[in-house]
Amino acid sequence: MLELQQLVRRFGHRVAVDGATLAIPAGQMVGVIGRSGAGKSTLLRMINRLIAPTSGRVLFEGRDVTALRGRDLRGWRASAAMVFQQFNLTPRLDVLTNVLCGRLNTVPAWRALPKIFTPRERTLAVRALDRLGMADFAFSRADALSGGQQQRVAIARAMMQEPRLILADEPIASLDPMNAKLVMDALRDINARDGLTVLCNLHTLDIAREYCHRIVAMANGRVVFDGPPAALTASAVREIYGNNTNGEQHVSQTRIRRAHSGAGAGAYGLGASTVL
Amino acid sequence: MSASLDLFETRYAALRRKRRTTTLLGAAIFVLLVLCAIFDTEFYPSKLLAGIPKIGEYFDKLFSVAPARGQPRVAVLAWDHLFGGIDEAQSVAYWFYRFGTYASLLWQTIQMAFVSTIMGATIGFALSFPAARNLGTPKLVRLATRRALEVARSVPQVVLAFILIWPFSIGPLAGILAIGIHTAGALGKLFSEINENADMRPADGIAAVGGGWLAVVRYGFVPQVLPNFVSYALLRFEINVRSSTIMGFVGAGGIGQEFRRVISFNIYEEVSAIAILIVVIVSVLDLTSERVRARFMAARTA
Repeated sequence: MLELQQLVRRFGHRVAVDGATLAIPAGQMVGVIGRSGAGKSTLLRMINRLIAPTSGRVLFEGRDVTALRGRDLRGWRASAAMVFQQFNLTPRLDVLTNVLCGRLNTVPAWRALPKIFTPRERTLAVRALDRLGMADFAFSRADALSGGQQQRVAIARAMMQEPRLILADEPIASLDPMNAKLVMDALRDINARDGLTVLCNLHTLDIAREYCHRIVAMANGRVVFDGPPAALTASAVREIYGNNTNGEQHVSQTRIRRAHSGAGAGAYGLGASTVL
Repeated sequence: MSASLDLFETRYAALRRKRRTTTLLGAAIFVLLVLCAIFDTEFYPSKLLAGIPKIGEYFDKLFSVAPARGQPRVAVLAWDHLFGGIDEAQSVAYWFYRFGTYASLLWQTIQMAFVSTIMGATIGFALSFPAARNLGTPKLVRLATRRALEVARSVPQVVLAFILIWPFSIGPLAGILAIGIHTAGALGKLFSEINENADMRPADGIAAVGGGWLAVVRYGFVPQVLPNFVSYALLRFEINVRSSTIMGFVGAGGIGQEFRRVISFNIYEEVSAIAILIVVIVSVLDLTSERVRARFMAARTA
């Protein structure tokens, strides 16, 4: 169980996240939606403490992770794996080393500095890559790969952390629809097969509807909707995106073609293009 | 409408007057500073004009030399004696009759530059990370590192060598330490600026997997910045070769000591012989390292 209690983050006078409170049971796949600047990224980054909350608490299985420092904090980060919009791999290193970086929390400095990894770690890395269909690229440099391939490597790195939850910050925002589908399928597979909690920031409604058990919507730093995709009615969507054409842009960007039409956005009576 | 336009014009004129005053004041201060500097250093046109014709005299002495006091001057660069034996005055062999000494001293000079560059680059590398603003180093550590680097690069190398000769005695060690310390200061500063311009996304990625400060440096920064570091270190090596030719002037090893000796004895042939050798060696090293650097730059952008 991951609990956010009254999380607030201010940047100067601007309030990025304004009192977010959520309780997420283990194994749920949650989509966080909202306009750019709604506070989705800040919320996710506060969970693994890349950004420190101004006030409020994050509890994981009853433990207050907002109070952690030093080694304990790094240990928490290792168990709350982050997947970034821009992948955040090290470009000049090969794919295998990038994936092995997922172990850096447990590798002692005397091995980390000269890049000495054990055969077991390498086996884990190759398995993680293989699961994402990227084993053939193990020796390529990370910057030689396409965006979609880099994101799959980044997910393999996240799996190397043997995490308890995955925080994906706009994982498909810089990808084409084909790669977006591959990446979202991989996240769903991790959620379903490994039982990991997945928190995924998305800016497209239909993807959130298709992949997530639960949708949390943010506007102006506040949680304005929290419920199953079916409960996300047209009026709720209007509140999230604002009643103007801007909203339509958000909703219709980067759409994945449905594999099965039954669960299409139309089934809820609000296809992406008919929302506004 | 026209009233508000008038008001606009008045305000605009006032603004322009204010700006013009500022500019004129700035220009006046600048000119004053230039004049002060000229008078202080006696950089007078009259002195300059008086000295210019004498520039040729030195080269005259190079190109035509009296073999002994009172004898007629002999041209230096002339085919009939240029490739004569060691006994023939003004032949290449005669000029460079101490070539063996020069060569070993030049070799020592290059070795000094090499060792001091390695030393400086290593220290600069280590200090560039705590000195960079974007690595979350405690402020006290960062400021202390930056001040230390500043001190290291602000003391002139010759002065440093002169001080270091006391504990380490005359010889290359003092010279190496002097150049090495200066190099550490200069490269440490440059390296830390490279770090500050690095892409933070890989570093965020490593921080997010739970890696500590060292892991962030090793996997988030070093792979990105290393080609630039190497490029700057090579550039520094070129500079250090030139610096180490001077070190001998204060007794800190290398070709400089021989250079100082022949200058103080007015042995013009040998002064020129050594000067030519230094120019040749420095140019060859510059060209070589330029090529190596170009390859690193290419590797970086690829």
